[in-house]
Amino acid sequence: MVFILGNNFLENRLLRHCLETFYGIGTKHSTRILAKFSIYPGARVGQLPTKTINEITAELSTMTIETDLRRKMRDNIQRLRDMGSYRGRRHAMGLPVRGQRTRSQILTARKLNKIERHG
Amino acid sequence: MATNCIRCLARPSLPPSFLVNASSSLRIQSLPSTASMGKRYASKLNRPTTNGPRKNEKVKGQKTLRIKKKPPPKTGKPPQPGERKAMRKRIVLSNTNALEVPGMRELDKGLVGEWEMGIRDARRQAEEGHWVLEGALGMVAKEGAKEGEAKNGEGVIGQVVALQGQTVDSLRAVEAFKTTQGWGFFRRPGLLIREESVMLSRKLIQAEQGNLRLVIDGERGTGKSLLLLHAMATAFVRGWIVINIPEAQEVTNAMNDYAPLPNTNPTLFTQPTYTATLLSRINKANPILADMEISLTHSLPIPIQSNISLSRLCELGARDPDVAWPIFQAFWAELMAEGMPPVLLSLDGLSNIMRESMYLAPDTSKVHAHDLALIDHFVNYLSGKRRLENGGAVLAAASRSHAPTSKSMELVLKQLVELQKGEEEITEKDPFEKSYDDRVEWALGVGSEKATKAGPVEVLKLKGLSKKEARGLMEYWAKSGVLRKKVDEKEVAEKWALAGNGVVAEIERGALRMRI
Amino acid sequence: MPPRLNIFGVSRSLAIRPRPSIASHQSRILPVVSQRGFADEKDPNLSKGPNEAGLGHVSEEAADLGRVMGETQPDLGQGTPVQDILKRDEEGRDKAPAVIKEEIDSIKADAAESTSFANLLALGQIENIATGGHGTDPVNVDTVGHKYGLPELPLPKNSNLKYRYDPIVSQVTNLLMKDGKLGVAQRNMSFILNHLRTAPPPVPNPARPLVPGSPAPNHLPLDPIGYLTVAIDSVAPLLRIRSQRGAAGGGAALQIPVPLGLRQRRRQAVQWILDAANKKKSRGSGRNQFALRFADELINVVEGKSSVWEKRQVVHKTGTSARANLSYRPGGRR
Repeated sequence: MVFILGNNFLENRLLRHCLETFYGIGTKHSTRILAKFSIYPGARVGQLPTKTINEITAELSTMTIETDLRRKMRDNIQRLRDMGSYRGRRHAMGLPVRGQRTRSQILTARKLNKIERHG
Repeated sequence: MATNCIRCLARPSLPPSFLVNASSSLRIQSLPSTASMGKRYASKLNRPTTNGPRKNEKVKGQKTLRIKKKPPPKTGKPPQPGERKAMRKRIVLSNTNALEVPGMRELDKGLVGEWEMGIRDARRQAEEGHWVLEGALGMVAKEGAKEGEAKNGEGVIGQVVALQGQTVDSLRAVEAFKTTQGWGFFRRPGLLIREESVMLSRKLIQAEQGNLRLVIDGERGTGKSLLLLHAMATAFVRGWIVINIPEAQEVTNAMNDYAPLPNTNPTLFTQPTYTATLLSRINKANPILADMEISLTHSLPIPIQSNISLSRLCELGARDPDVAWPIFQAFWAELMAEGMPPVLLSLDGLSNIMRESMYLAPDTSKVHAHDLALIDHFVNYLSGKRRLENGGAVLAAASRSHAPTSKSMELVLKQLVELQKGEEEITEKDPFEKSYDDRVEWALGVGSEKATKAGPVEVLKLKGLSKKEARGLMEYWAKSGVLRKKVDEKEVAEKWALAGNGVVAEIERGALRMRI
Repeated sequence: MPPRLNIFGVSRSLAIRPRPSIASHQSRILPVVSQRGFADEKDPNLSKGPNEAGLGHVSEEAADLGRVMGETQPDLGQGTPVQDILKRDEEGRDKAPAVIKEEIDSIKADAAESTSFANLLALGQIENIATGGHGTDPVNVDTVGHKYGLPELPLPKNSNLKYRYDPIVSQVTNLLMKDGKLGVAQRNMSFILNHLRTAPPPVPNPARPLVPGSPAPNHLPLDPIGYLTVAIDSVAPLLRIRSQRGAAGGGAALQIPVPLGLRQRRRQAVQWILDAANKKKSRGSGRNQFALRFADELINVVEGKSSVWEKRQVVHKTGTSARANLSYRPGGRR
């Protein structure tokens, strides 16, 4: 098991996939992090020396990910709501925010758009 | 008409008219289950389940198709990780069913010596004005050739010669044999000697006093990789040290770890694991390394004794990928020291290193293949920037199957072939093409002011076999019992013509793989 | 209402024409020799008098002369070309038209290059001597003058582009084919044959005798097509069981053995081998695994280990026990 930023990962997992489990890190950021530390895309977590793992953890801790990113997003929505804007209202009602039609297919908006948004 | 219940095949208790309506309007699912189903089924549904709710069981009365899947019976133990790949990559060099071909010559010191004699003869006769010297090498007897041509090892052209056991082991260690080549058909590995192979061998022999930089090019299936193998075999017979990169794409396709090399500008990238395996291959393939001792002093990250053999040095590098690159450099420095044997540096799949690699630099830009330390090393010698001090050759074979295109490489090779032929009009750069690469031109020794003094590389453009060579090959197949046909002029001509004027892989496909 | 009659119109329709508008096809002048009437004799020569018969043509004349002089006579079945006559007739040669004169000259010039039978024979003899034989050795005139000789006639039945492979190979290839992908099937077939070639020779089981006349097992690998044929033919059933519904009385099916042709038998065998091969598990990875399993099954068949043999036995047993039903005809028992 390898410990990255408070999470445990199996040793035979690809580092790329491990990084992408964090909220706020997708293909782009994982590729960038791998390139920064000169790790090839097929690298598995178990292969890396502890030093590199620590460096990666340090890199991740400087980024706005996970709770920080979530809080930031909630703050943004709360700001919209507080100023009483249309977008804030739509968020609160769980409806599409950006002018989409609502006759059908607003499942994503229903799922996600809340004041206390999770994902 | 569905007059039976779909599930229990029982007849319905409702009046037929109702059922007709229900089923025709496809509303049968919304009917109360006890009404539409037979009594037997209803009672079954009401029975309380003892095992608790099953996963598949949904809302009461909802129709789902439940098929229990039987797990497939387990037979034998599953293959170990990597076992199946090993089987796929396995190279079989012998077929005990095939017949032994009597009277096969071996590619040994004697035969190579004959080729060497040929060079001397050609030189002498060229001075006398009997033979025509071709290029820088006096070797090809043109019109007016005298008798005694066969003496110089040219009589073996069109014959298949066997490889010696020691050579086979070495070739296997440098991974010169490939799975796509039909080694498994014959009793022992053999090589067809064609005109180009004699030519190349002679160039190699001459390169012991100089340097040979050569690119083998040709259409798909014309035997580029096998000619490279022939060169390696000749080198092993001559006692050279052979360093081979069997698949250039393995170096550049980002399947191995890499690390920036400090204090280099532009930054080079080493590949520790690949270098380590390369060192172990070199060690296995060149048994003469065991007799050579370190003569220089090196500053290495690990302490080494001052009198260990080169073989031991390679072993140390192969064991620890972290120090593999410094040890490779130290090993190379030893090879370049005085009194060492010539070196053959070879690489298959040239176009893979004539482009950007799949590795990413820290700023997420792509690393050019020439910025990989190993390739940089190779390219320095291919371009002529650095010289092999004790003589030797740098060979690269282009690949025409599953190979990326490199516009610059195509263009340069085309131009060089045209120059060799002495054509008046040389192909020029396409002014609208944007993907030309100066570094590629430099690597092949041509291009702008950056080009090296050594001049462009030589290009050996392979074509199909001659009919004589094709006949020799087919006779060998027939003698091995693999080709069950009379090999006569007609048969040879037919196969030769159908194979695009003697493209050797096509002859093999037509004779051995398709029409057996 | 009666049609209106126009009296003046009648006169207009009666045109008076002094000359026929279309010229007659027949010549106005009667032929000198009158044509034969229906009642005349069929042989026109009969009308000839004794002096009317003229001289025959040149060849006939020459033939007559030859008969008299006891020389060879020209063949009257063929006409004699003018050139031949001129050969004998020097006076005529001088007076011959210019076209014929030129022709005669060109023939003389070509004489050296023209190939006659004798010429070919002589060439062949020279060839014999050149290859170290004797001039009197028999000469095969067919090969002389042809780069690769003439094909042997009659041409074999399958000497055709479409029949490129051995019949059994093409049949099995087609049976291996899935989704119409012939190329993949051919690649598999090639792999199978090459696997048979490189696998160790089979050890046949005496309890499962191979097809009579099959070569020794250690000769099989070098003849992969023979190997394939032996494997398939050994296990091919001789018959199939046809179930005739309701024929046995009381709705029961009557089992009737039906003999199979060669291709049908082979097809059945390949289907069984395919079933067995599909049940096997691949040991390696890559795209040749199916072909490998099929080839292994073929080897198992020859070694008598395959389950296909049981299938064959079952069919044969049923056929034997049902042979009484052979006389069944759909119209009723006879």
